[in-house]
Amino acid sequence: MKGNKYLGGRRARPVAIATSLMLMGSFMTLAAPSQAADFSSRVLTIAVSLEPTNIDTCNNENAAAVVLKYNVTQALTVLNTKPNGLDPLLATKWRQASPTTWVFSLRPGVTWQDGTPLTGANAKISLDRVMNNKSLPCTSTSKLAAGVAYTISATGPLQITIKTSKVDPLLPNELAFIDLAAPSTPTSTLDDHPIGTGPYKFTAWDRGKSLTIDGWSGYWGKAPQVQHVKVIFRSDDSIRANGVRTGESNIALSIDPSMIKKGDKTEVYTQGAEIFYRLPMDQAPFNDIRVRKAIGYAIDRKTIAKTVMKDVAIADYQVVPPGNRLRLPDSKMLTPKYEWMWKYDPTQARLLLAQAKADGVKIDTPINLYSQDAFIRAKDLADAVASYLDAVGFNVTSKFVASAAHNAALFSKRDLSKVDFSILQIKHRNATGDGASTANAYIWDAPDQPAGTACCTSTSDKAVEPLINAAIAASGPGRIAKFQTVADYLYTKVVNYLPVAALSGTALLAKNVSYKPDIFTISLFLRLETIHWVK
Amino acid sequence: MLVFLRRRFVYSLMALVGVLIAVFGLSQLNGSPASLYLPEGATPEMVSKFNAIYGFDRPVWIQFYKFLIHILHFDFGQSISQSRPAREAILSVLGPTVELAGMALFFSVLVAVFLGTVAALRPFSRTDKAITYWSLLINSIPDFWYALILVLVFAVQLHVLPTSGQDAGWKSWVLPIATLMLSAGGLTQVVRGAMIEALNSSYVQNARARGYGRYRLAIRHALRNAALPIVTIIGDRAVHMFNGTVIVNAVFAWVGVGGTMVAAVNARDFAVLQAGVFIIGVIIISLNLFIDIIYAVIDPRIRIA
Repeated sequence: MKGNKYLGGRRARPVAIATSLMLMGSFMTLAAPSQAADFSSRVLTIAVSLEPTNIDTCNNENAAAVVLKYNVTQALTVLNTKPNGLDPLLATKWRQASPTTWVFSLRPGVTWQDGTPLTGANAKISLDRVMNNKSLPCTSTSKLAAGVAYTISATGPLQITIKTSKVDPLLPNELAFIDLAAPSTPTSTLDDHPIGTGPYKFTAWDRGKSLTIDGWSGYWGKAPQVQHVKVIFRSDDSIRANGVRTGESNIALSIDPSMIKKGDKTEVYTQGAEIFYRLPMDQAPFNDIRVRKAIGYAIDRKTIAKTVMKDVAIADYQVVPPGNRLRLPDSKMLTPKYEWMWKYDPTQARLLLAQAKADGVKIDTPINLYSQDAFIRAKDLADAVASYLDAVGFNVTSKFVASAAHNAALFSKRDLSKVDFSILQIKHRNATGDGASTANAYIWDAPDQPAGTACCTSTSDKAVEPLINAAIAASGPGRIAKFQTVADYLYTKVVNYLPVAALSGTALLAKNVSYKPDIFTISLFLRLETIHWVK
Repeated sequence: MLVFLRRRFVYSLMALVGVLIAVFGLSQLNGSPASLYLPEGATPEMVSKFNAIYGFDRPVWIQFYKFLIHILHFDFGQSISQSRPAREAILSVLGPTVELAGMALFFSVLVAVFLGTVAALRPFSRTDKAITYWSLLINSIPDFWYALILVLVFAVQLHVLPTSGQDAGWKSWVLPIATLMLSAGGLTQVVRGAMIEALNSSYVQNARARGYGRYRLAIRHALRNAALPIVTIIGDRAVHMFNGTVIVNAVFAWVGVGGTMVAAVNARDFAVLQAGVFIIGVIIISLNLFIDIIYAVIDPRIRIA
């Protein structure tokens, strides 16, 4: 049969199909722009474990306030994920005019969200509010060099000069932690309505429920794709995880890996936090270095990482994470010189204890090992370590306590009259890339250090002090060498901190979100500009 | 009745004074009350200023006097963890707690009275046994576990209710109330026992002899007489539910007094703890006074005694 010349029959069918496909394609193309436009009105919901106690600009280092830092309020500089990496932010450049003088050039065209322009004079007011204010209990000042006084002056319309009372070669890095609140922010009380220069403005904090921020059209930089963010507080891991699965939230941070199910979309990230055990050097039997080294030998870090802390941490041997100036290279660390810091050798542990016992050290003194709910499976880890220590001859009881009791021991500065100063399980986060904050908190001999240092130390060895002083005053490659001298002394002569692991974190993501957390995500700031809707 | 009320009120006031003394005493146990109210690392200047304001540098009896003056102004000090007055920290979450506990109690009483009465009307029958097994079962279930199971079933598997939060309207209330209603089990047994006793009393037997039906006997005659032990247990359950909201706060992320107090313990926020203990003490004393009044309304013999 010949083909019909009219539209109909066999010849017409392919034409009809092609026409339909073309029409469908056009329809979908017309529909697509409206789907993309939906992104700007969507609300990204992030579930975190803890609600902040306050959200003042000078106290924004906690699980919820990481959304505020960089996104709502900003600092002169910002850390990046490269070792010791630093980028300009509200300052475009800086120079060290003299050993104790730094000059910062401010970014033009920036305003705070209340319309106040960023000028030298206004920047001075903001910085003074945090750096030279005794009546505000700010936590961000703990990142400044200890014992240094700062004189800040506006030396141009877009320039400030900071004079330091001592050489502070890392001032630009330290300023990454000091966000600039609007000059109108009260100076004598903490403020719960942060006004910053970031791409988002603070909208509301409904205590116990949520914290919301929304895109700000006056931002000096590129507007992020996500324009509305809501942070909700869910203390239970399973509730946070289930919230993502049911669509109530898009991102859940700090999820216990055991809660992850097949089909979940997850991202694993390093937290920049080390877990170590602080030993009381002044207290028997720990005042004998053989006992302290025996503890190091007694703990099987690799097995712990594979079992109790599986997917939560990796075995580690130093008090700071990789990339930090205080960290010794593995090629140097994993040698016999430091082997009590990394090697599992219960036989050697027992030998050292036997030697100490023969010299009259009471190695079976009852010892408490205190832990708190500072990370996932903290209690399980403490229990495991206690059992390792008991196995070589110690008499250890693992005690899981409230954070108030743990902090009382942590901050007691070796004052044995205040607390039962026993082994303390500590999570220490240092994502700055430099060893100063760790040295300031943990390595000084106390209690004769100036205010702001040695808060958490158990060190009683004055010889470490000139080493720390030299390291903190140094700059460039010399600074790395001097901090490594501190580390060498700490791990060979002091031996009062025994690291076991480096924490990692797991975030659960909804299928319609793309995000790669990094070392700063739960410790400092969560870059909302890197989060994208994918559908 | 007025004499009865006055007497009860005086006893309640005495209990309240006891609470005040206990709350004041807590702040003195540590030796330095300022160290309880101020954050770690408070400077000596901050401590001196604080002591001067609250009189902690004066003799104990003057401190107690100042403490009472501050209590009369509802001033418990500043919350160091929330940076606002401690009373605000508690009062802002008190309303939701009372609402939630109140709703849970209301439904628990409804369910318990209904099921307990049905069981009492058919003692030792299959219905009675089923109700007894059910009430013993739910009385034994750990509330935290139960809450998580409810979330797993109704939120994650069936997608009919939210996992947590208070933003989903009436749906947000269902699982928290269901969690708190675990105490309906014990209440059901109390109702059952009291109703069985009342139904066996002579006046009910007389009413039955006059031809009254089973349900009329139960509701119009037995229930009022069985009410005394039921009201006692309801008062106890009310306190239990009020305190039990801490589980709801944790699992369902509801704001509440329980969660706030736990957070205050962890944050060493003594001002909030003190405010919480005092306010909860007042509520419980008031509740007991209310129960006493209900007693007097139900049973005139109590008013006269």
